[in-house]
Amino acid sequence: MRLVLTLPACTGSLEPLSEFLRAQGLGILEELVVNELVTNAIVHGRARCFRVRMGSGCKRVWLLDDGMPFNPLEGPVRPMGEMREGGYGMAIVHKVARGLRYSRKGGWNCLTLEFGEVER
Amino acid sequence: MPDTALQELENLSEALADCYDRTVWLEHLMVRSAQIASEADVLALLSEAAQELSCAGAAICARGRWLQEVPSWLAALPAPAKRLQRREEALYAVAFPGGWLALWGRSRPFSAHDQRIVDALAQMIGVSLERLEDQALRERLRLEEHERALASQIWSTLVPNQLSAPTGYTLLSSFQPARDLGGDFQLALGSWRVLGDVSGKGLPAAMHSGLLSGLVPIALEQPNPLKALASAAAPLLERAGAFATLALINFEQNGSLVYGSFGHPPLLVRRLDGRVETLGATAPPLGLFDPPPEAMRHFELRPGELLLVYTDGLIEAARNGELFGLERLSNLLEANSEPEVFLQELRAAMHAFEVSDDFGLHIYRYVGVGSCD
Repeated sequence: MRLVLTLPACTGSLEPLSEFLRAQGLGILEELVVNELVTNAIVHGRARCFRVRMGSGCKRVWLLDDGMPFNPLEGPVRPMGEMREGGYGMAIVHKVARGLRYSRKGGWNCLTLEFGEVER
Repeated sequence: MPDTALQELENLSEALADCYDRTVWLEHLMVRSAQIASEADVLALLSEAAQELSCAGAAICARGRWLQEVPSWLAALPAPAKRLQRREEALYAVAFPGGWLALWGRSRPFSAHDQRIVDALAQMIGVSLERLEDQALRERLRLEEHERALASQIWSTLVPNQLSAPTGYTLLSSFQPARDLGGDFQLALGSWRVLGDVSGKGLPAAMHSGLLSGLVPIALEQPNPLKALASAAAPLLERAGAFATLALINFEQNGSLVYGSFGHPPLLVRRLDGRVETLGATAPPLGLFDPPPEAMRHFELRPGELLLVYTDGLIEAARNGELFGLERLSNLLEANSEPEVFLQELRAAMHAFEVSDDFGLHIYRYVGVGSCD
């Protein structure tokens, strides 16, 4: 089964996004990670639309946005604990996500996030 | 002659003979090392040297790997920076670039002379191993190149470089994979024209674009081509962690068109008065999300109007971090009603931009019913 959410890219979409992720069994940190990446796409990437898909049975999240090219695997990751604007969120992303894959195609940023098994 | 002088002379001649033997052996070593064609030859040379020096054992460690079985005490030794001697095992070991060799189990200690010989041997073996490594790498590259050429040949039979124009339209196209094969693909089937693009580059992307080129014609024969294509291709793409954008367009002779777009960059229509309309995606990219049940849209062209279909290599061409972008493309189309001139202007405008991806572009112009094109 595919669990998909499509929302306009604006900060008003963050709440329904959180509800969707929690309903699929994501923990608070994992939810924070997805939220951080979506916020990045909205605020810095000027995305207009994003889609989130959850894999059933495993904590895998596909995140698609139509913003400016942004590869979170590139660029500096500042150490945790250093509260700096723009740096702290990505440190959490790298810390929490077990796997992170990025590709860009057709004007889309596509991120695949692996969080591990869903506890049932 | 007194006995002591005789003894002295005997010693001297023995030393001289010994020296001669070593020189001959060194010569032999040089010739042998030039003939080395495999690791086994290196090991044979080493065991010959061990015999010559009356050592019980000899071994080579190259790139952190022993080339033969070694006693556990030796395996436990760290690589020497230059040389290492140990009395317990009567060991002499020498480093060479990329590894080290060890000789042990000798009844008498290694003289300065013996050590020099072992040092020379180590350097020669080091050079030989490096040469073998280079040869293996060259061979592997040659094989890869050969396979790549074959793959490129197969790919070019799957993905045509030129498409025919649909009846009633002219088609000007440009199709350039970033390398000799790539993720962009195009095909013509009856009145259908398709332009698509798979994420990734090079051979992996080409394998997927080849696969899609095979699936699209079958999907187009189904009542719902987009759904058929999604159910056939999406699981394969997803498993490979890839996704694709593609536009499928059906050109009717009367200027009536139907299109479906899996997350493809917007199609641009240039109206007669120069207005440019964008036709957005009708479904998300293929491989990540299911298409909606009805993802085909209809539009019309009048004679002289243009349709521009392209892949993202065009709008994502970059200049100092600035993208070529949809707006620039749209403005160029607005300013040019002739496909040839538009393409010239586009190439000129893109001159300073670096195209890092595959790049596909179709410009269709509706000629009208009863035309001979």
